[in-house]
Formats: sequence, structure tokens, C-alpha cells
Amino acid sequence: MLSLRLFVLFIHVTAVIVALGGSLFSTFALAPVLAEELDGASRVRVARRVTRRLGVIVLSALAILVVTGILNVMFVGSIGPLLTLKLLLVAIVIVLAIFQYGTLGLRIWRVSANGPAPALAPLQARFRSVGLKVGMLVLLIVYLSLGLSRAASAPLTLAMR
Amino acid sequence: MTAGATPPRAAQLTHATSDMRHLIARLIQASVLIGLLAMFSYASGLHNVVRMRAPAAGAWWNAHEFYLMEGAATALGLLVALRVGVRFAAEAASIRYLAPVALALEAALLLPLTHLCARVARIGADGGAIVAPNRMAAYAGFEGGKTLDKLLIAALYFIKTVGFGFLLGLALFGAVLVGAIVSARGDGAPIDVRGTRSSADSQL
Repeated sequence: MLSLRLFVLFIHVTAVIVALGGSLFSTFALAPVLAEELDGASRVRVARRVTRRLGVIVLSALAILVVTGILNVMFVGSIGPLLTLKLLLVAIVIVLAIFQYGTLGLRIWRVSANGPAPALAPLQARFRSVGLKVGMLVLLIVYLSLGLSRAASAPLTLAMR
Repeated sequence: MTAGATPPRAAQLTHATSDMRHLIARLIQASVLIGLLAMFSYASGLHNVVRMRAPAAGAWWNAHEFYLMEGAATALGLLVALRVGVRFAAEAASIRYLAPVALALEAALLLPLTHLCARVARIGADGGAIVAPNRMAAYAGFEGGKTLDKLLIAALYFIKTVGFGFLLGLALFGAVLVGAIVSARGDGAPIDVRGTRSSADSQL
């Protein structure tokens, strides 16, 4: 019941939840509320700290995702076309996340050091746009993972019947 | 800049980043060279040729060519990931220590990661494995097909090891980037140098 495989899978799924949930919360819940409730200077101050902290959380979660994902591949014991596609998408997602936080996020951090700046709005828009792309790709990866896990569990289900 | 004057910090950093990129590029070239040589040697039994000329060297090469292939493939994946990471983390790339730290981590973890990548790369796809050898035998004859099959297996293994190395390299770079983001000072000033535009900016 409580096997290493299950534990690794648990960490893997938790990392997905953290990475995806954090990005979605920031984009759809936090950013609109900040825009409505805070004045320009305060909004920038809060947003830049959120961007930085979110970068740490999302990038850490993605690193954990890769390690646990590779362990999962070892447990599953086969690399089919679906898994290959998933791994390819994972690589794209990580590169996009590195761009989002390693370039855009840090640039936002730097530009907003002295409060609101004209260059900030386009940067933030681009940051959100890349974040949404990352989110959509992660959702696609989750969908592919469901296909993989269903395919892997199918013989077991048949055997149980 | 006048002769003898200390170069600005931004220029020093750009030089450091550029040197690092050159080093990574050279290491990638070396990995490709060693990896491909070991792969072709392993697939075609090149060690026999070496054995005829120098038995001791041939025996050593035969004993190590597979590990060299695995190690070079993993190193290649890690290094390509580092290069991609440095390119896409343009702002962070201006941090002097980011790439060297990532490279040092990769070097330190190369052996365990090689074992991990090689082990995962051995996992194959289900079914259809007999199709390729049969087709190659039909095309090139039994002996030729056998050699081509060995070459295909070795090449696929090499590519898969590179792929897993690449994924792990991206994860490793992400972890190092987290360290860089955390080390950004709370007052908003950088991360290493204000106003330094790395050459990576223009590459994006």
C-alpha cells in the first residue's frame, strides 16, 4: 500500500499542484485583486515580491517534477510515444519557466526597484502571457499523464476482473 | 577606456559570461566527439582493430567504451541544458557565478547522473522491436543488417541518455536559478550588477 513508488508519485503530483496552482492563483486571483485594491506604488512593491517568491516555488517544483518523473519512468518500465511527447513538453515547459523567471521576472524585479516605471507594464503583460502558456502546457501534460496512468493501470484492472 | 584603467564591472561580467559560454561550447564539442566515437566503436566492434595494433590499449578501450558513451551522452545532455538555461535566463546570466556553479554541480553529479540516465535509457518501448532488425536485414543482408541493428540500438541509447541528461540538466539549472533569485537583495538592486545587459538579451 505505502510503497516507494506511491510516495514518489505523491511527491510528483504535489509538485504539479504547487507549480500549476501557484501560477494560476497569481494570474487569476492575486493580480486582479492587487490592481483593484492597491495604489500604484504598493501594487508594484507587492507584485515584485510575489514574482520573486513565485519563481522560487515554481522552479523548485519543476526541478522536483523532473527528478520524480524520471523515477516514475523507472517504475513504469516502458517509454512509449505518449511518454516521449510528455517528456518533450516537460522540457519546453521548463525552458519557458526559466525564461519567465530568469529573464522576465528578474527584469521586473530590477525595473521596479524604485517604484512604478513605464517599462513595467509591458514586462508584466509578457510575464503573464508566458505564465499562461506554461499553465496550458502543464495542463496538456497532466492530460497526457492521465492517458499514461490509465494505460498503465488497464492490465491491472482487467486482471482484477 | 584608457590604457591601464580598470575596466568597468559590467564589462568584466560580460567577459566572464562570454568566457563561460566558450568553455561550455568546447565541452559540448568534446562530449559529442567522445560520445560518437565511443558509440560507433561499441556498435561496430572497433576495439578489435585497436587490439590488433596495441592489445593492452584495445582491451582498455573495450572495457571502457560503453561507460565513455554513457558518460559523454549524459554530459552532453547536461551541458546543452546549461547552455539553453544560460541563454533563456538572460537577466540571471549576468550573474557571474550562475553558470560556473551550475557547471561545477554538473561535474560533481556527473557520475551518479550517468548511472541514472543510463539506467532509464535502457527502458525501451513496448512491442515493435523486431520490425527494425527485420527490415534492415531485408535491405542490407544478414551481416549488414546485424551491424546496422547494433548501430541503431547504440544510437537510440545514446540519444535517450542525452535526452534524460538534458531534462536533469534543466532541473539542475532551475535549482541553481532558484539560488540566484533568492540571493537577489531585498532593496531591489540586483542580483549582481545594475544596468548590465548581457549578450543573451539580444539572442532572445
